[in-house]
Amino acid sequence: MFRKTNECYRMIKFCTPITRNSKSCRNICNTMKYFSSGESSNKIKKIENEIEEDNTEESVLQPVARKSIIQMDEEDTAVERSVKRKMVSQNTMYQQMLAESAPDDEEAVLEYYVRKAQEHTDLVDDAEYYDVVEADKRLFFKMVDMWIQDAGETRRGHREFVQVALNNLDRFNVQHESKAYLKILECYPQSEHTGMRRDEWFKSVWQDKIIDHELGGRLFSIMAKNNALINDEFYNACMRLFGKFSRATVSARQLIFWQPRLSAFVPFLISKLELEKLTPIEIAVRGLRQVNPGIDASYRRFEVDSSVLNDKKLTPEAEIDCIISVQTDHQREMLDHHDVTKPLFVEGPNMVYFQNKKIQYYIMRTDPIENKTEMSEQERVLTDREWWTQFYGSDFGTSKRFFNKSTQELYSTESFLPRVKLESKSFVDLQQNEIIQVEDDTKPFEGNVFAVAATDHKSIGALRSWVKGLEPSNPKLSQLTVIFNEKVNFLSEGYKIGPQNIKDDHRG
Amino acid sequence: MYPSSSTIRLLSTFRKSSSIIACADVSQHPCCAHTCAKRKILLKQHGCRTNFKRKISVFEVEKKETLKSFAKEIYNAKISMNWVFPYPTLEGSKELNEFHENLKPINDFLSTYEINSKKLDEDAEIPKELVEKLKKLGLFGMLIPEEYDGKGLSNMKFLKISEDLASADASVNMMVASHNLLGAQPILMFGNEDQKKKYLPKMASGETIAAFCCNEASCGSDINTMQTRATLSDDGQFWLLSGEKTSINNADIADVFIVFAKTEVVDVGGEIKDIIAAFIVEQNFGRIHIGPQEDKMGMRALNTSDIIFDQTPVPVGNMIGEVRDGFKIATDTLNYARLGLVAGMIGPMRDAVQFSLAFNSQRKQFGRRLEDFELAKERIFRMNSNIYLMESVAYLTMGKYDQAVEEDKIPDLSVESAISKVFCAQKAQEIANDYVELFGYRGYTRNFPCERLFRDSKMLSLSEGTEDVLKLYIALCGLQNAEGYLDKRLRNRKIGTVRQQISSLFDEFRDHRSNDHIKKGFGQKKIPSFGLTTDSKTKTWLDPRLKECALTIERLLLSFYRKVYRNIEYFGNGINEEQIRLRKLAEITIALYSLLATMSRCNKTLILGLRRSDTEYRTMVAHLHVAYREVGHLLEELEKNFGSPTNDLRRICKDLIDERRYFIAHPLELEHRYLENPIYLQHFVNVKSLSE
Repeated sequence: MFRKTNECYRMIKFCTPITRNSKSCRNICNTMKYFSSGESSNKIKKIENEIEEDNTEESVLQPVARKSIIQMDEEDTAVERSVKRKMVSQNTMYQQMLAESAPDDEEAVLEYYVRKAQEHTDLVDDAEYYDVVEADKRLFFKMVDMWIQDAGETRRGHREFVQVALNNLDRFNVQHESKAYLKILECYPQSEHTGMRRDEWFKSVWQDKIIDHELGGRLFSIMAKNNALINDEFYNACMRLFGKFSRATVSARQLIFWQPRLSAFVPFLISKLELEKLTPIEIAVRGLRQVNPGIDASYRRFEVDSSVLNDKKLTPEAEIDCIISVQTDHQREMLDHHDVTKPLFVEGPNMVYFQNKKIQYYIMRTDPIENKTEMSEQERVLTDREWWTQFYGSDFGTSKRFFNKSTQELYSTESFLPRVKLESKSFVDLQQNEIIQVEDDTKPFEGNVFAVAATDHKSIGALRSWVKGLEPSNPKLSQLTVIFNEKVNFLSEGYKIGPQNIKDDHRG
Repeated sequence: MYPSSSTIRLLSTFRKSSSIIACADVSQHPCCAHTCAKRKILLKQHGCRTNFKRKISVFEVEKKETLKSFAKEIYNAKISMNWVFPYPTLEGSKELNEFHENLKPINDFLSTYEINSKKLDEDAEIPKELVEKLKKLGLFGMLIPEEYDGKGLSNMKFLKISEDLASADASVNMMVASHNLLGAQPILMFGNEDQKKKYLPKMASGETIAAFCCNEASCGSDINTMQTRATLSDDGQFWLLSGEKTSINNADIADVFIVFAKTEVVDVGGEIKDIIAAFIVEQNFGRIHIGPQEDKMGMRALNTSDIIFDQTPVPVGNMIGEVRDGFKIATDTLNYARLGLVAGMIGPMRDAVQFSLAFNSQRKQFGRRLEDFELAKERIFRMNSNIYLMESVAYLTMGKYDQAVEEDKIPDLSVESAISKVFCAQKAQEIANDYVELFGYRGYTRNFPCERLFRDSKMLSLSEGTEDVLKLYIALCGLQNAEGYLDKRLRNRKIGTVRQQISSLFDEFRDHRSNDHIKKGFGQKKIPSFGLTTDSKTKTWLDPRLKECALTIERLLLSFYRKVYRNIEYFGNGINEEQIRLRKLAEITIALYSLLATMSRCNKTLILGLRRSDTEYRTMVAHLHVAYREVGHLLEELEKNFGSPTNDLRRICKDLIDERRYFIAHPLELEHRYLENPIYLQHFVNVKSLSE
């Protein structure tokens, strides 16, 4: 607060000769007419009140202009006025300064410049934005440029403007444009006005104007949410504005590192507009494609009889009342070779989010114990037969010599291409060994997955119809025992809409 | 003083080359009473080799020595002078004159132009009359020894005859060669005396023609994926073969088939396994169906078709070798035959140079003859030198096979034959391409023989092991040979004794210094050299004009060996999966082998003062310049950090394999739009239609 008032005083000294000019005031009053409705009228009242109260400053406003203001405010009640007077009195100086050039409220500032940009449509000037085809996007860029022109080199009121611009990206439809974010970074005071010299590494550690840094960090978090592509220009801008150790620069660096990696994980990108057009079944199919990938996979749909269902019925939220299953060719082969004595498990419900939509799915898998490796050889005691074969290099019963000494076989399968077998470990082996060891220690034992299905049913009866539907293509399923293993997932009672879409108020 | 060798009890014999003898009662053996050093000397006198690690002394008595592979030893930083020099030839001028006299009837027949290559190509058939004339000339028994009524020619002589045949027609040569090399060899190398006496005399006279049946739809280079089965009949008298073999040469004419099939065998612990076995199948046995002839791109007259065996009964005596020998028979015959089938194409290539020179002298463009153009000259020069390279490589390896027979050794030349096959096929395609280019658009039409040669030469790189598989084979064999030495060197540096670690440090130091091998210093043994620089400057065996060439080859060999060690140090066993690196290693070995072969041949001509030795010298030097640059690039690419292009390739190919289509945006597109894969779209449509 202290700092703010100090700034204001400084500004007053700078601005006084302009305010005393009558022409500028007239211009302000003319612009006020645009904001006659809603909130904008309040600001005019404030100005009026300030003028009345502050007798210390010379009021140079002409009576004509004052009249016009008063005429517009006749409708407001007296109660409102009294409340606003209190608010205004806290911060009178600063409000006044803003009022001289543009309205004080941040939203109104934006509105003002939008209107200004709309008015000044000029073919010659707009040549700058030739690459922006759409009108609303072009309006955004022009509006920001106009603000920068008015704000001057010091970018007076840049924090407020940046905040408003970030909140209103959707209105101009530029939330996915990375250029728009670069434009917003231009709104910060540049070069010597940044406050501290950033090019010296020692000084760049100390951060001043922390709110600027916080705002920069928020800009990058919004960018990440909107999937706007980041590049080196952003990082360079950050280094210039905030320095190497700022929070904003760190977040930019993280985004540069992670964005391409995360986008590579999602091979099947889909826009939000397209997603809204899709039916829940189509969304489920797309979700299953990412859960169980493979171009050979066969997608099928099984209807569920209502008579089979137990007491549990579909909730009103649920949309998929059938069963959609996926199975790749490789999984079908694995199921054919599965041992009949060992049972299968149908496990679920599990949750997966496809962008914002939740999909509930079940998996059919084997017992994870089957995949567990046996005890290490050091702990095991050798049998007589094994000892004999290791010591003599021949078969215990027949005393025939082995064809292959290392694998101890009478008949070995040879291959045309030989293989290099070194005992000592290479550089790459040593590098990978650490990773492999950690992975082995922390590895959860998982069974082989044979099929995946998406439904909103939760009853066993519905799942039984899934297994029955799979039987014609997998004849071995009829011989196997299937155990239904219900598992309550922590996400199952979560939001129906994904965590991305939960609205946190950016403005607060 | 010592007890006789009858105390040594024979336990088992399972290889033709060597029999293993184990001494069950250790105290009986003469060598056991002495100290270790003495025992070694004694065992050498007995002709034994010991394995002292075992407590029971098991030692092998080797009947024959092996003729060591040269290309494998390069990986071990050794070059054996005796292998490369002298260049193998016939013994004397007497033998050569005899051979030329024997060639006369064949050349007379070929000069009558009875073989009309164009007509054979159009008809896609070799007439029976022609085959019988070839039989009379004795072409079907060239490699069969005189005991079995064959001609008993050496490999080099065989190659010369097949060159002449191929210049008449490539597919006729292929028919004869596949009978001689693929059909008769398995019986010659692995068969019983009974089998040899029964089948070989008929094969030599051409009464029966043999075909080699290994290929299947599911199995090409990987023989283990074979699906043809052989089961014993209930009475134990017959093997019943069933399965389908595809693209078999001479299937229609053949009377005897050599068939490979899988049989069930019980291994240790009652485990049942499938093992490949080889059989001799006559057409009289019945239940053999031969399909229609395949419509091929080149070598159209050669008969290749599918054969179906439907429970064909084969007597038990007709199995070649033992049950487990099938794989070895198949690989060994293919390794041997690979080069012989391909190298015959040198003949038509030689004719191509003649034709194109004649054409160039007549055709005029821009007011000049074609032969006056620099670019046309370049093409002809390239064709000429490529033929020279093909000859020198092919005859060196073939000569080595002969040398092994003379010295009574087992040839270990599979890598060399693979190298020369790949090299010859590559060069033959280059020549054919130049041939067509020289003739212009006319070369594209059927009026000229260019396009036929172009089509025929394509077959060389595809048949008997494709280029990629053979390159992998070459590199992996070399690395496997060197793995003992490399492993020891790696282990010394990490966990060796102090002395070993210090010596390994010296090794490292020497590796990093350049041109160190020129100076006389420590550790000379590990450096590959001809002994030019270290011992004396005047060698009688090498012509002084070739000294600089030999030095550059030495330098290349040394840097190649260093790269091998670096790669092994970095990747370890992971090198098996680094296929692009393996390809580069193989390409370098091919280049080095070709350089050595040409140098050896050139040395021979310079010393003997044969005609046009100067031309040979110039072509040799020109090839050295080209190969030096190529090998240099490849060596650079073998740096351990030169992986970024390979990583890009892997990443892109992963996406392509997932997507199974070309998914990059069209050059005309302006906006980003997502295009679903048509296969997935079909899935979506199917699911949606069911819901409606």
